[in-house]
Amino acid sequence: MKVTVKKIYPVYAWSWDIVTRKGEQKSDVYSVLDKYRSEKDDVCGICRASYNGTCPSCKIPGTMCPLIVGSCNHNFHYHCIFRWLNTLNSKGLCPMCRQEFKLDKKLVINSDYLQKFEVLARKNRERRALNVDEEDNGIDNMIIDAAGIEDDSSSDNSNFLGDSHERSDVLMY
Amino acid sequence: MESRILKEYKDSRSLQSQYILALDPISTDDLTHWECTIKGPLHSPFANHTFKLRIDIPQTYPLTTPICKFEPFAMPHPNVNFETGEICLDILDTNWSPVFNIQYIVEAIVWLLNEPNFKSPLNLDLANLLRFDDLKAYHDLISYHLNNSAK
Repeated sequence: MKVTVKKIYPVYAWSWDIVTRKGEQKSDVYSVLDKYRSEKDDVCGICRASYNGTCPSCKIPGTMCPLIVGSCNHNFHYHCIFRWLNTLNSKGLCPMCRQEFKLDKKLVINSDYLQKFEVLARKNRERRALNVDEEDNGIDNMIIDAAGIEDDSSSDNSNFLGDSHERSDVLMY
Repeated sequence: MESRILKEYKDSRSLQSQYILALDPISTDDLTHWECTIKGPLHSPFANHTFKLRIDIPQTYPLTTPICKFEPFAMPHPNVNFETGEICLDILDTNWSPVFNIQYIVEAIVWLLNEPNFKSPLNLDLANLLRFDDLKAYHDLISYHLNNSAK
């Protein structure tokens, strides 16, 4: 039998290359498809859209809306995690595990963004440093408050009497 | 962040929880305002009572926290402002993370009913009773308020 190929319909699938960290450099089509299947359920924890999809503010998936792999092994859309780390409330922490969020430097996928995240981290450290004094004072006050409460509860009456004595002193003067 | 709220709406349709009786947007045209009905946990002073929660989702969600409140004058709890229904809970404030969702918050609030914390009080009377370990007065004051508000 002689087979003549009349037409070819190639089908392509793509997926972010985030498995290569283990040194498994498989590049045949089946491993890529397997990876695609196993990862299509993996979603960005911030926007709940697929890794291979886009963040809510983008329309086209791929290099326009890249994926970022943290050193803690948690992945997010670049735009999602950048927006989160840019809030003061984030304290620079990973939303999943609350460790300091750093990029995995070994991965090619992150290489274009290392500098941007370093700049952001530095900027946030400075912003937090400006607030640190206030926050530290706050903590001190809280400790003092707590100590006061402890005193109240353990020796409530004596404190109360002490207060009233002082007050009566003030009144007498 | 509309698409994420849409996903949470879909998830909420199949929600099955012992303590969350209802979790619905007030209108399906606008998924930023939700109403939730929770059941008081067993073995807590709130058992056999149901409570309504109002959840307002800001435009910046999930980077900022949804605003959750009980109905005014309905929830006597050390960490809830009785007059406004405002709730004091760390994950609704400084410990917020964008991976939390609406359902998680409601579950945390149910948990708070069972585990009141007198160190960050919004209801001083109840917090003081709890701090001085006067559990009978604590339970009595709660049931007094609950029975009053039911009338």
